[in-house]
Amino acid sequence: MLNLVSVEKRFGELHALSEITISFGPNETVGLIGPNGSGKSTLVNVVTATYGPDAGQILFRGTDITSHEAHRISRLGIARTFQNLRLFQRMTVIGNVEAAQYGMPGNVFFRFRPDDRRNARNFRQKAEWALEQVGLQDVRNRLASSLPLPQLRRLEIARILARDPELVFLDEPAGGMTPTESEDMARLIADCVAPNRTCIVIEHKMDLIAHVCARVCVLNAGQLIADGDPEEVFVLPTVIEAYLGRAAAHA
Amino acid sequence: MSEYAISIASNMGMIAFVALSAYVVLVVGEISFGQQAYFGIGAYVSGMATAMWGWPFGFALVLGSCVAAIAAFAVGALTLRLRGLYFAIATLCFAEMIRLGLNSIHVQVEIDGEPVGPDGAEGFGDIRWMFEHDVTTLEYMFIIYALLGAVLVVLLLVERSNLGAVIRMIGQDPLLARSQGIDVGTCKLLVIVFSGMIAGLGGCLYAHFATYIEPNVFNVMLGVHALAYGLIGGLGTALGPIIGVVLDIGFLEGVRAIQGYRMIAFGGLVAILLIIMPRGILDEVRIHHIKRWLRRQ
Amino acid sequence: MIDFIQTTLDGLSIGSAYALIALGFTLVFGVMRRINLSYGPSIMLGAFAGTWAFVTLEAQPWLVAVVTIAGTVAVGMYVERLCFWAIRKDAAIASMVSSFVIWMQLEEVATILLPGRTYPYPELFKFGGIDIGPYFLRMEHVTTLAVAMFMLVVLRLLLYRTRFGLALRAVSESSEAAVYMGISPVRITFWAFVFASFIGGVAGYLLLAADQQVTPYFGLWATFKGLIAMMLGGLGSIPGAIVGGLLLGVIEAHTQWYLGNAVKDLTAYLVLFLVLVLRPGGLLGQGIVERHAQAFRRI
Repeated sequence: MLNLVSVEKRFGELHALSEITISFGPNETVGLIGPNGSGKSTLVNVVTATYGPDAGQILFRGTDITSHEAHRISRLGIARTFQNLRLFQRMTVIGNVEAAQYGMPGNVFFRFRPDDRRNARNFRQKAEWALEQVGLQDVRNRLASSLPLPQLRRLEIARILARDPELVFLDEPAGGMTPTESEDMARLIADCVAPNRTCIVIEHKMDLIAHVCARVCVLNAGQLIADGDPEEVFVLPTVIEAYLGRAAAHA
Repeated sequence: MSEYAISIASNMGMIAFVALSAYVVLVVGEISFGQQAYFGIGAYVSGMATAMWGWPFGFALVLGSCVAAIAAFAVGALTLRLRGLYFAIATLCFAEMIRLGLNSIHVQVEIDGEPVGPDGAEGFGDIRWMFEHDVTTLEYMFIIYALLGAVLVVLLLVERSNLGAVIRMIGQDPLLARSQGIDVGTCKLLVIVFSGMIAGLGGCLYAHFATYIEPNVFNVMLGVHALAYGLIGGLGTALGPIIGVVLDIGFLEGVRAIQGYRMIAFGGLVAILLIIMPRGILDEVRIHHIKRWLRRQ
Repeated sequence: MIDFIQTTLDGLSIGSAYALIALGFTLVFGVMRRINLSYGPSIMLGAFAGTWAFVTLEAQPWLVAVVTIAGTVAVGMYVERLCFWAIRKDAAIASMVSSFVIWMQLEEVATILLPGRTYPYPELFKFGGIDIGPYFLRMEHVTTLAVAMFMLVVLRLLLYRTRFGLALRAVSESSEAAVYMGISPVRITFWAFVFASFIGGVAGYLLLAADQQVTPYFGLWATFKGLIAMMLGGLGSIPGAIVGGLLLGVIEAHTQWYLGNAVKDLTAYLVLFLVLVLRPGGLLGQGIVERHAQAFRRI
């Protein structure tokens, strides 16, 4: 599905990603973990072309997308959420979900022909369906800026569901949530997002990762240090060391 | 209607074109100090078309706005990478180059023994289409408002369409819009070209109304005024810039009591308005509430 | 060759005045990330107050200087309170448009104060200038250049050697973070504005004393010359403001000398347009483009 071949990204002297080679298969749900500053979000940004890699190759379904622009990558069927929430604040909730579909291939700007009107109705229906999935149907006509954080995170998920992409990056979907709220989020991811698509979850909350992911990749200081089954990865000394320091690993 | 009222109303109509063009650029998230250049290009080109080459008025309008749109395309393509203040100053530079360039354009032809055409800083007089075709100022005012109405209808339709939503997406967060598959560069260019076309059309109308134009009419003050009108009225609907124009030219010019202190009153009023409503009178949030209220009725 | 050097010297003279104005712009923009279109007009109004004292009260030249600078600072405070302090932090366009309508207001106040088109402005030095070999320098221009350099040094010392400067740089980096360090961004912004207005007042006085006349158009002129010089050198860079100002002066002087008056302004705009398109960060300060652009975009 998605293959990264020795991808590198530097910010000045800092090697945010060095020689990352990794593949994600179809319909896989993978947890991407690592301490702060280990390059998790950089990896997402590099794949979605927020900024391009300095070296290496990115293949999506066999096509080289390394030098594609961000909007073309998105049109190929790669979607993402943002760690620090990006929404159109001055649009309604449903407006945000509809807006997510305007960039999809085949969208037309004007609705002159009957087909196009049907198309627009489809956007609306799709958006309402997606909002129902995440449980936001009751607030659909409120402005996005008026929602509390857990609902905003759900809105980002709804936006993804409406686009129906093949590959999804969820960047800290439960960031800033209480344990109950993040349990709900884990259930939502497992039930609605993960089926029938490749789903890569970046998260610090290990119970969420353990709940939804069958595979975990660990980044530390821009390098891939572990890749495999959650139960196996969580007990690897290198992983514990990366998270808790050398002393803890030997304890 | 008195001649004075007609001239004020016509002026409002023509300035509204520039205000609308500045507004469209504001909605896509950029500030342009250069919309007056397209207004000027439209005015000069259409004036030359009717006065020098004897073109019919309608064709002159089309030619003027198309040339302005082409200029806007060139500027837009060159400045596509620029944002914020950089974009604003680049458009300012372009507009001033056009204005100063017009100062040194001398293209004149002999018509009835009189030289006609742009004469540098001396200006461009004798755009006599209105007299030659017996169009009264009142009739011309109707032409202005008919065209303004047409532009407004197009803008309001665009606003309701998916394209309108896409433009607002770019205006609010271009990075997010791009990550949703929107080709931000192309859309922005489209909007800039369209804005040039609107301003150019206004310029065509202005040239034939004023019959005399000079480069200094199209200085940066016109552009910044247009920008202010666009913001004062509100960034939520294309009706906003019209409100801005009416508020300044219509209301303050009309109220004789503040003659001589007009700008002091206007400046103070708008400054206070912007403190209370930083995105203008009819901003997106207020439009949202109005729409909801209308739906409930 | 003599012509060339003399023209360059003339350019540097006028350029140093541009540099001073650009310095004030940079200071305000650096702290607030918002643009103050009223900067030139507030200098103009200060100068009108000075010339009013000169014409009606027959004030001494030094008193005119004091009135001009004090007037500029007072108007600057008014603009800051109304257009920047009072408007929400994330509404950069509103601040800009607000500063523009206040510009209109200031211009009208000036024409009410003195309704004519031009007014005399007292010169600083009675003696004309100095000769260095074949070259001639007007004393006012030498003074302006010296003052510009002096201000550059003062500003650098202020920014990098004082607690106020540290606070100012902190606010410039992130006013949210500065609050947690016990810094009040509101106060810092205010004093930065006052200081920028002071620089503007000094620049205005020196410029007008060299021209010996003042018109209401000075506001427009100063705002846009300052903006252009700032953008030419690189947005938010203090040495950039000086370099941009001097460069603008030299470009203008040379094009005027070799190509004539009509081309002078055109060339300045053309150069800036090309700089922006080809090298958007200005001549200095490439690295900060994105950060500033993004800051400015928080409309």
